[in-house]
Amino acid sequence: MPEIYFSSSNQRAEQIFAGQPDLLAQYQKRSNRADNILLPSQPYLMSCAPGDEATLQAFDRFTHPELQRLQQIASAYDDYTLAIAYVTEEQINPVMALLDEYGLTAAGALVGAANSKYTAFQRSIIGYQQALVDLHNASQAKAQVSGARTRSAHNSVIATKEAYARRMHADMKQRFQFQLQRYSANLRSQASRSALLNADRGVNIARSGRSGQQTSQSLHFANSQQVATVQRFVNGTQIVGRGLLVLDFSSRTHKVMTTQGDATRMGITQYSGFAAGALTGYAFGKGSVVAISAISLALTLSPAGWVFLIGSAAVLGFTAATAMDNWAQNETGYIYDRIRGRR
Amino acid sequence: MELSIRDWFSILWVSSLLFTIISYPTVAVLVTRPIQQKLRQTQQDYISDWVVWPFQSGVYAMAIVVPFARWRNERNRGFVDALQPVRQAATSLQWWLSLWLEVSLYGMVMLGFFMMAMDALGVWSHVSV
Repeated sequence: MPEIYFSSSNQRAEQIFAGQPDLLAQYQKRSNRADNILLPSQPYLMSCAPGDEATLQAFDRFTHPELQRLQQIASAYDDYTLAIAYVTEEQINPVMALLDEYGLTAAGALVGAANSKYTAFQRSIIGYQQALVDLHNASQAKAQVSGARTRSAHNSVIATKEAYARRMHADMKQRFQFQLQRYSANLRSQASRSALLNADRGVNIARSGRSGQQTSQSLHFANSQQVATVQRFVNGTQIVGRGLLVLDFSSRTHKVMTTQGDATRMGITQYSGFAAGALTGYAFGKGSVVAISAISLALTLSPAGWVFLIGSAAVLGFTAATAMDNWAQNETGYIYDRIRGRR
Repeated sequence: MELSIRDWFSILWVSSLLFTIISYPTVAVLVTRPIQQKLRQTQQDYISDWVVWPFQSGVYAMAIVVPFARWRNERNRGFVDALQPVRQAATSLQWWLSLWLEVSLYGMVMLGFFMMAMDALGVWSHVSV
């Protein structure tokens, strides 16, 4: 299985290919550099079986920023990069396409239907999204009523829905880990053997790196199709989505337009609630990205693309955002009434 | 009209919310866009690839204000190295604008939760709660 090596800093070819003269000769033949330096963010072939060069040539289709991004992703996900790319392409993207096309309820019905071709993991993604939207709606219902007693009656419903959302999130995470292990085992069944054969090279890389620091990544690809899958994944990864914001904003506009009472008050409370809630979710989301990155991106093993899928899908951020939304609606309503002299 | 401590806190919170709402597009125009253009020339604009547009300015501001390089280690270096060019490309005015956004955003959030907690504990009375 072809092994592709990415150096994160300038490295001498003699060090990396030490003990493998055939690879060094191949490198010198193909490289037009006189100083024999391996450049960062460039793919280098680390095996010379027949057909391996075709895999390397598949990287010609990558632009330079794509290669840099691939190196970043590989440094975060390591050996799981290929498995994550496949899980994203084969399991997550079809569900996301359904959501885009039909909306949450219809997508839920399609995915959940009997004899469905969708896997338990795909159903759990939709289930988690539905649980979050449910929680959001319950929280909105609480914001609409007035009176301390009536409001507190909603608390138990919200707590139940929050617990359910947490359970769904745990379920989705577990299924995702399982899928990842499954794909990873399938994709790496041959790679592990080639890693054993390449023990010498591993030692060389370890020697050439600074002490205690990982200076490079190598990825195993079975064929050029896998390279193309990774390229699509590299182009599709984004940290946050904006779906819920648009949905939420339009539902609030509808509320303001159709209100029977004071439309200005409704507009001020709804939009400030939206801004405060969205910004709180964003602040929490940003904070958790930093926290995760500070600990280690590799530990989380979840593709950045859907961790913060709707607004900030982390339940903590979501709960904080809806709590702030409700409170802000109440608060700005109070201030508006004070200014108008109604209180 | 006599203002209670609770009212002053309300005014402070609304001001921080307004400051955030004003500073966000300001940072987008005066900080994010010029730095994006600068970094695209050297192909170092990683954040725009990872974060979609309405959220970019916050991440740019965070990258400029927070000295991530201090906590760089072998596991998070991919993340830190992607943010570093943004910090280096920022001018001092852009640093102040980013600080304005970050302080008003996190100030609004923290003040809001503080007031929420005070309301819940019944430390001060609020007629509508």
